[in-house]
Parts: sequence; C-alpha cells; structure tokens
Amino acid sequence: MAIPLHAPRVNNNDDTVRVLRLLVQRGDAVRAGDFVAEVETEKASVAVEAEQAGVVLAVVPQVQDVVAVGSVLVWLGATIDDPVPDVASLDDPLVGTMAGTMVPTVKAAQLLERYGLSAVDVPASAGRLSARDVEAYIDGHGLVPIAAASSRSAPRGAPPVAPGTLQALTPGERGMLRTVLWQRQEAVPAYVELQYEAAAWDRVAADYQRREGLLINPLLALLAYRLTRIATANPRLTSTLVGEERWMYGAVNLGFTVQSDTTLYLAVVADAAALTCAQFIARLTTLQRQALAHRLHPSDTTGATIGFSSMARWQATRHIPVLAPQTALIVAHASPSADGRGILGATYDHRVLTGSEVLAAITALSRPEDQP
Amino acid sequence: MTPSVSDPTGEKRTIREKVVALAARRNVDARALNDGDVILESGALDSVALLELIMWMEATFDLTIHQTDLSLANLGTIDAIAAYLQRTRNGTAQSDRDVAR
Repeated sequence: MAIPLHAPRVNNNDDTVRVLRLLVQRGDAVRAGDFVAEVETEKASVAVEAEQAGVVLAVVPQVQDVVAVGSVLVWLGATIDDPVPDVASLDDPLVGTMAGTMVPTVKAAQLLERYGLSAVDVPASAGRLSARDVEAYIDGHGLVPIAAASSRSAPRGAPPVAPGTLQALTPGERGMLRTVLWQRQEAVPAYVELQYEAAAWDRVAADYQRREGLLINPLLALLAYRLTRIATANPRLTSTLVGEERWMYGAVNLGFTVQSDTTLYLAVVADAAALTCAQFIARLTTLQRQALAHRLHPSDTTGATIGFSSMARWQATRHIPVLAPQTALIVAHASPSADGRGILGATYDHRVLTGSEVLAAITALSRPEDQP
Repeated sequence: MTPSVSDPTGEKRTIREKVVALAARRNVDARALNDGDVILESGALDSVALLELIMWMEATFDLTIHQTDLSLANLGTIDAIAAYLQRTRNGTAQSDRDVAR
C-alpha cells in the first residue's frame, strides 16, 4: 500500500511551502529517517524525512513548486509495483488537513503566495479553498501581486569586482539568513546587559549535578529553565506583534542555540513551562544530542517563543544574539571573568518590550537564590 | 591498540585517545588524564564535548546510550565508561542504570 509523505507546516502563519530540493526519485530505496525533500517558507527551511523504510513510487511536486501544507510530496511503497493513488489535478483538493482553516488547492496556494496572502485571510465558498475563492478575494480588495523580489527576501546585490564563484547556501545558512533578515526588517532590536555573580550560579549547578549524579553540567539548562519560569510570570516576554496588535503566545517554547560544526540550530523545548526542572534538563539534553548529530526533527526547530544563547564555551565575554523570527527576547549568556563575575544580556524587540522589563527579567535570572 | 592487564580489550586506550583528541580541539592538553579522573572536573571536556564523546561511543561501539544512562556513575571516568560498555554487552546496563539513579 502506498504511504504518503506530506509537506510539513514550517511556521504557524505559512500555509504553503516552497519545494527547495527533491532528494529522491522513483525507484529509490529509502530508510526510516532518510531525508527525501527540503521545503522552505520565508522564515525557515526544513528537511522532510521518510517515516518508514520503503521504495519511492512517485515524487509529486517539482523543485520550486509552492505547495500547500499537508499536500503529498512523495509516495512510498513496499515494492515498486505498489499502485500510486491518482495524482490530483491542479485544482483538486489536496491530501491533508490544516487545523482551523480550509485547505487550499494547489492553484489557490500559488495565488495566495503570489499575493502575499494566507489561507486564513480568504473565506472559502465550499469545503476547500479554491483558486476562484482567492481570485474573488483579490478582485474584491483590489490587490496586486507582491513584487517578485519580496522585501523579506535577501537582496540580490551586484557580484563583487574581485573574481570568485557563487556557492549555494546550506539549509542552515539559509535559515540563519532569514533569521537575520527578520530582525533587520521586522523587529526593532535593542540590547541590555548587567553584571552578576556567575560563581553563585556555578555553585548551584555543581550542587544540582552532584545531587542528581548527572554526567553533564546543568548550568545552562538550569538558567534556561529559570527563564521559562520568569516568562511564565510575565507572559509579555513571550509575545510578538501582528500588525498593531500584540500576539500573546499560548506556551513558553524555549529556543536554545546549539552549534554543530558550522550549523547553528535553535532547538526548541516545547511547552517548557509545563515541565519539571529534571524533565526540562533531560529534554534539552536530548535535543542537544540530536542537534550535534544533525538529526533534529523539523518540529524541534520551529515555534520558539523565547530564546536562550550561550557563547561561554568559546570564552566569549559578551555577545549580542539575533532574535529568532517572531520572538521578542533572547537571553545571552557569556563566559565569566576570573573573579566569578559575568555578564547576562538580552536582545529584545523594542516594539514589544521595554528595556526596563527586560532588565527586570535578566535581573531575576541572575539570582540563583530565586530558583524555583 | 595494545591490550594490557588493566585494559584487556584495549578499549580504555581507545576511549582515552578520543578524549585527548576532543580536548585538543578545545586547545586543552589532556594527555595526563588518568582513567579514574572525572573527565568533566578535569577540564578536559566541557558538556558539549562530552555529548560528542557519547555520540562517538554510540557509533564506535554500535550501541544506543539511553538518556537516563548519562550519569557520572556510568560515564564520568574512562574506567566507568569501560565498565559501562562491558555491562551493556552483558545486557545488564538497565539494572545498573537503576542503581546509578
């Protein structure tokens, strides 16, 4: 029986994804966990992996196609002779569902993309969002297509004068590019920092490690966990702006930076505030192991609502991190000086938060005696 | 790899060489590390490098190290790692994990 592999949801607000790469073709044998495709939105790119072993029966889209979240990318079978379900015509409903909204057809999804719309913007006349629905909405609102070179895309500058060659960015590098561009084009970043007694936190971490018999020093995990508790007490820290309204996130999803070779991941501990400290440390350690092995699941790198980054490992005494898209705060931890004093900083979106409330948050974070 | 009385399989030497190599990437000379020294406390490896050592062990010795096995008792020293590998082969790691906790 044919098994479909669907286009994943990459961001909460994107109902379509663009197919960047197709890594398999009909007849290829794949193992569970093998990557079969790579898709992207304006904010992130993710690899799609086979959920089980099999033989590729069909690859549905082509590279650069814009497809709806939930649509079929690849059909897998036990043998190459397994029948493939009929491939939908361009305006047929797509396989899969999207929670809370109507699934657009392929043609409708392409129109949404061209006009910079989301499926939630456009009312559907029937059970599915059709191209006709989108066209009616466009006509009714007098919309024009967004420029081919979107303001959210990286500007294509003139090549340098000195001779050289162009190289395609890796998925990780493209993700970082989008993150940096989001901060430059959407957020109003600001930065505050304070000095604190890092040695006090070191003692807390050492005591915890000894008490629990942990192999790994839990200092960074404890700091990150403490940040989730602070964010629970002040939900504004996990909010962002949508137009001129504040979007209050429903969960504290802690994004934690992990450097693996030349790739910087933002591993996300989902609903971190619901975890005990021990559960949080275990979950974060698991994500770190997966990131170091470049085996993070796409869902583990999306949805961050607050961030934590440390460059203490590289002996950096100060660093100013970049905000993850649609977050308002990322805390920066650095290497303390020899006298046990360190710097805790935070980059924040000044549209969303004030410097004083961010300073209050990192002040609370700097005090291990307040550890819940 | 030269087996010895205290290291009949030569695994300790293999592990030690990997620890020294990972430490060298951090510009730390760990050649004086003893098999009974706690690796993290010695400063040879930090937490991330320890996780890299875990990943290397899984690949080299063809095993899966469970999250709950990441304890000082199981993997804190080269001696402990060698003993853990032995227990894993004997199928007794689970019970030792419970003891370690």
